[in-house]
Amino acid sequence: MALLEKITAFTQILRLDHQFKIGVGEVTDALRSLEIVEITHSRGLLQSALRVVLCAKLEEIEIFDAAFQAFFFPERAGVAQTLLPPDEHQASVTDKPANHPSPQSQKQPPEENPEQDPDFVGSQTKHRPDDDDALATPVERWMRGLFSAAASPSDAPKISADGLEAMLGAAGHLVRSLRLGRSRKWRTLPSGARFDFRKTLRKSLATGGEPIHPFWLGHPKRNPRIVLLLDGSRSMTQTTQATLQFAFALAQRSRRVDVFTFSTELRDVSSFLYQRQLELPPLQAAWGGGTQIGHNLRVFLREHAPRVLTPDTLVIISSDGLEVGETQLLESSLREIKRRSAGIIWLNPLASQKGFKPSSRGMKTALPFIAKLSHAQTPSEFSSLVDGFLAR
Amino acid sequence: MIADLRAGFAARGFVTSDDFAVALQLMLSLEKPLLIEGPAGVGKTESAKVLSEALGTRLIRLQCYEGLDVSSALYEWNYPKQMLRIRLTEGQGSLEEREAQIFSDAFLLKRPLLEAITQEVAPVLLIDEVDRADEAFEAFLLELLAEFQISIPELGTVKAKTRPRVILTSNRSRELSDALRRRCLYLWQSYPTVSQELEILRARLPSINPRLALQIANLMEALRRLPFHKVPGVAETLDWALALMNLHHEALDAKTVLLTRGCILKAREDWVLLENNLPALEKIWNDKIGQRKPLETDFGIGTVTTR
Repeated sequence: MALLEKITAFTQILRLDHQFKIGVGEVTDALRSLEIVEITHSRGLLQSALRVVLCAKLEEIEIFDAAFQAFFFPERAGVAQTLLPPDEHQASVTDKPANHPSPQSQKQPPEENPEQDPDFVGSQTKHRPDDDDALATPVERWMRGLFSAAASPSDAPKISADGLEAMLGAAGHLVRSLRLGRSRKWRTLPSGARFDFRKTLRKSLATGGEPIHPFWLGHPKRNPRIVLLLDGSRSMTQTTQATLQFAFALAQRSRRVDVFTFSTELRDVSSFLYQRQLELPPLQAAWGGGTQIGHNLRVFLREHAPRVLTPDTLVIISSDGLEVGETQLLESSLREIKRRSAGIIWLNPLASQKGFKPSSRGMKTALPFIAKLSHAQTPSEFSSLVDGFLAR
Repeated sequence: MIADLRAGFAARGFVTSDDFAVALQLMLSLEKPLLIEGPAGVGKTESAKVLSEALGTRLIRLQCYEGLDVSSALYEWNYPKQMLRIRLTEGQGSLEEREAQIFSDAFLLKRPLLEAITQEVAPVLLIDEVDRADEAFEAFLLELLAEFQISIPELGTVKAKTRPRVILTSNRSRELSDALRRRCLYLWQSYPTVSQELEILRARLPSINPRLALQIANLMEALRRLPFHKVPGVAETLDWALALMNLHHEALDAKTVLLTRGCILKAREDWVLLENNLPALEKIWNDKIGQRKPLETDFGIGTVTTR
């Protein structure tokens, strides 16, 4: 295949399989870039040049590199497999294992013989000992879930379409009712408490010195932003469905929403929700494993907070607070989040039970830093989430 | 071509990676803006400055901030001057003539964007921290970056005489629109590796002790793995190295690190975190002791065994 055709085919794979937004202009630029860069000297230069032209954001770089390796140097990596969710009309990644075997399944064949151990029949199985071990007590099942490292690849979170309309209504109501009051800054407004003499005088120069348009200074309304940190660990399995549906609904009702899931790792899933994907891709260690709240909040602060955490951000943490990591880390992270945000609402599913007392290590540590401890499972409970919430 | 560009940067003490050099070369050749994203302190802004020096052209910088509007970024009429002219020429000439006078180039205050597209020699236009500007301003940039022209109602459309080399930087404090991204080439600039940082230290501070430089590069790499509130960037590395040189330190030790930590860490919590992790970091300078090159001479004493 000629280089021209190869590049065109490669851009097509990026566009169709990985949802890269590549148009004719980008393809033309990619071809021109090959003339500019002396690609015969180095494979790295070719990769760099195409990456600069065809990628548009950080999240695409990893996908691009994997696809590049698979397409141009396929002997080791196998066929490219998307890391982004497919379009709604396309089959999901997990639906086509024959054509798109995962690198993990190629590299790590199961050690157990499936015939000898019917509980482990391939990666697609949902059959795990902690799910249906008849002899295990509920506490044992819960403990296994809590300390397991990650979910199986088949545990990709799905958002239920049942009752979605009601949840969308609840999310809309919450977005509308969330008011943080006014900023302390003075800004020019159509009407305000102070007369903006300087601006009025300056603008009057455009009308021959006549102050036709008076300007005022006032405190602008704070524009809220919502960050939802969703504990997807195994101990939350029974309750994450509703919260995930609520997160999906929130993302449809406001563009100022960021959603993260965490288990033993943290993952930003906002882009998937904005794309209206009801089926998220496998989130590996960010879903269905153990619980390390403090560690993940620290990762959130380090990697995402500069982008999403402002004094106008309401942080909603949905977790049972069953922390297996150090509470010291949880404490310092929550203190930091409280300091940099409008406030923290903690949703604990256990709080719905009568006689609930926040006595777990994690909840005890978190209590001084949260503005409201509540629980929510139904649309009406979610819609009234910010009732009584006082922003900092 | 890429080699020339790298040499130009190297001559100014700026070490370029392959990715960076390719991105710059494509930006110049394809005449498309380059969007550089990355954490603070990796040299995004500096790269635009060095590029302008390497190309021997002017650097025009637009620092973005929340609330940045067109009159601050593009142009504004010089109203006081217009008023003065109206008063001075009262009763002279026709209305059309007077209008043409006061709405001419002489009364136009050029802001960075207009300045950039009216240059005879293509400048480097740095639109710094574009993520801090509002979405409305970002939308306004689309026309400029695609067509390199702007419309001034009183004067008409102003087309660029020469296409400026545009570099946009972003710290990802908010997500930029797909429309803006599509008009740009994209580069993610991360923290340098140990070898790159070592190269940067050697290039910027040629007289630095090689052992000290290696220890600093290793320590910075280790520090960037810790969850600091403000992860130290390349600028902090250079400041710290310079401070250690001024203090005549030839190598690191725990006491020196603690005394000079203010050069690299700028928050109290980060100082505490460093103190807590110091035992784990000490191997960076302690491990090297056994690897020191033995002395080549016994200084003529003869009885001293140094090997």
